Amino acid sequence: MPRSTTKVQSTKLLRQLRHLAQLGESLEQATRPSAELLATDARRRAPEDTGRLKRALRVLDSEVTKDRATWSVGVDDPGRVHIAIYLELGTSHAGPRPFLRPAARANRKRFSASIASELRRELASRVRP
Amino acid sequence: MTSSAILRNLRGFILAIGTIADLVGSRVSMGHMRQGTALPAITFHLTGASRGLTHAGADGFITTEIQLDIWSADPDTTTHDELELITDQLLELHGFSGAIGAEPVDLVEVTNDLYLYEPEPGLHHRILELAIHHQE
Repeated sequence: MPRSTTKVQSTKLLRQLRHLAQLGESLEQATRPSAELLATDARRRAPEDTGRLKRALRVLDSEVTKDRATWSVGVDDPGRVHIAIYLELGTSHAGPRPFLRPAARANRKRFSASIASELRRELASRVRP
Repeated sequence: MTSSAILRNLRGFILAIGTIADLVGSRVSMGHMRQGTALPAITFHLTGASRGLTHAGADGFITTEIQLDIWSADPDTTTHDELELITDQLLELHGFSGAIGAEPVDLVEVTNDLYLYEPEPGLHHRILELAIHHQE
């Protein structure tokens, strides 16, 4: 009987560990809100001209592996890509008016908090007794 | 000490690096490059400043973010090699602690190193971002 009990618990534990090992699959969902937050804040900070640059700023794509999620946030408008780069980094005759880098810097702590919270939620749902 | 104090002293600090002074002469300035400036040249801008915060309130530390721009002409000319030399010297600031002018700084970090080509008027633009950590 004790052996049987041990076996049941081991199976359960193994299942939970297997779920934990698959947590990497949730990285994309866990990090997406941070990418959206960055895009939203960059839009708020972007210089306003016709509004086309602001409208074109969005989450472009993601590359997710087992233990890493990389998101691209940028300008989804071929007519505004170069303008965005020169605004962000400046030119020889006009200083930079950065909007992406400050947005990334200002939200660093929020990214960590958001990712931790998303992963905690996912973890809780997977290892529920 | 404020970020402005760092900015005021930065030009002199950069020109105190012998190799850089030899290459750029006095062509280090805050803001965009003046028209007709000889190359290579360096410009710099304040791009951000953030104050540290703990649960107990402000911690008295500031991080001043500076963008350094190193400019050169066509890569086939001497100035492009000079651009590389200047950049190498500035990259050595990573990990620096000491003083910028009379202003003590705890740590300088080079947080970004980018390159951009400006087709009109044909300039090579190397961009270094510095995070300068210091006390208020």
